[in-house]
Amino acid sequence: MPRKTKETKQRRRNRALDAVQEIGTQFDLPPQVLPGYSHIEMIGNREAMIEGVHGVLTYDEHTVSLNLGRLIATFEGCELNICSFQFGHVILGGMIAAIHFSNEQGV
Amino acid sequence: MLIRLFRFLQGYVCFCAADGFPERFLNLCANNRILLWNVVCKNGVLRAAAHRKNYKRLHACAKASGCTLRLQKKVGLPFFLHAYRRRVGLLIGLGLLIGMLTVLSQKIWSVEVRGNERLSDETLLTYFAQNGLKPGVWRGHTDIKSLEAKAMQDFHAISWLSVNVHGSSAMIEISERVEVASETDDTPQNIVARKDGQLVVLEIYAGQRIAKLGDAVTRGNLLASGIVENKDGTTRLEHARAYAVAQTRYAHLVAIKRKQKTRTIGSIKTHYTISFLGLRIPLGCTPREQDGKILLAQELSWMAGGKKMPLALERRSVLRLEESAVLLSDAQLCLYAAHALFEEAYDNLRGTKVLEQNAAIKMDSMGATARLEGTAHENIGEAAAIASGNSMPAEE
Repeated sequence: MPRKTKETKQRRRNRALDAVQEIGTQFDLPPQVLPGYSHIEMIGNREAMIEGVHGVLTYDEHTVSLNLGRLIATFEGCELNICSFQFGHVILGGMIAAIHFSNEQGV
Repeated sequence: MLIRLFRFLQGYVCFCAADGFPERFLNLCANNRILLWNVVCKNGVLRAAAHRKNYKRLHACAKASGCTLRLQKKVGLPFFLHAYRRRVGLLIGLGLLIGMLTVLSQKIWSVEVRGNERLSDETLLTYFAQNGLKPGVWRGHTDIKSLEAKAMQDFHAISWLSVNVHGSSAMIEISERVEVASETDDTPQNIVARKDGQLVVLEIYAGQRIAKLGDAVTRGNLLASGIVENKDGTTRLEHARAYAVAQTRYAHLVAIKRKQKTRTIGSIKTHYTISFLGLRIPLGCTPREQDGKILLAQELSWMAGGKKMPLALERRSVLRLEESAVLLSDAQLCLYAAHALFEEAYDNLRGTKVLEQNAAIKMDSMGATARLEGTAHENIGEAAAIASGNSMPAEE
């Protein structure tokens, strides 16, 4: 029962975010002012600064998967390391070869 | 770089977390607001760094994620100071160092003089030391402006003076007064011969010509008179000026005894004194100058970067001299006589053109006699006050 309640809450939250984003799109608001978006900034392919991180899903020197709320970002490369890790803020270093985005359902 | 410095000042620990779930460990750390950096996960072992105060909180996260936490390295100033917390001497030394630097930076370390030519460094430094500017005095206690004004009054030879204090060194910049040539003297005078000879050049610039070229003159003969006769028979007084060169003969005789007194060094006593900011610390008894002794003083100052430091070692040596009689050999006697003759001739023949000369040294059992004679061209004109005793040159 508690799990079901949590899923329901998550779904409600996603629906609310969808609605807010739809309104923002209609009013031509920049996406960074809307809730639910994460912010990724890259310096070449050697460093990536990610804001809005909810947690680390997998971490080794070739793959780092980060939970960005409604998205999962997977960084692939070699010698990947987390230069700094704070609540909601990650600086990822190393040779980044690719970034994949997927949702919670893996799509 | 700045972040590294702050981390070093605060102190941090490097640790590794093995086994369990490293990702969960990271998430728990983030949820507990624990900052991690340099996180590297390799072969299932996670290595990272965290602030030293957060290390205890990491244990709870590690326990929850099933990781085994192991401390690898402690880095930073707090750990360094912790290792020396019982060394009280170091703390006292550091305090003394800071205190000495604070006190010594408020004092004058060195005083230098620049720009002086006629006035010696010693004279000026002694004067300024007597008036309160010397190594060891407090920098702010010296009234520079009044000192400059006083020095300008006391030294007539100084036209401009400035005392610049840069840090702990005082530089006295001086510009000496340039003496303006005095006005020409118009006092009536004659030109007379100061030596016997035959005139070879006679140029009269002022006054009345008395002697002629080729005349033989003796000492005191009038060459140019300051009493000039006008065409109407009256006379006027002038400041006679002339250039008179005559062929003269000279002879110099020097006698040297074979038995000479020499002074040899009998004993040397050396004493050292350390001088620091005007404070003199003798290393032993201070010698005094006595009869038959020579006192030699030498100061070895510590120089750093071309600047004179306030620390110096003064060496004072007292030499006891012993007199003894020595009989010179013929070669030594000849050398002594030649040297003495050269010194005498050098002073007397300065400014003359030597035409011919002969030198001879005669030696006997008592000593040696050196003789130098010859002829030369030299300026024999000299000024003389107008008097009634001047005579005309003898005509040949």
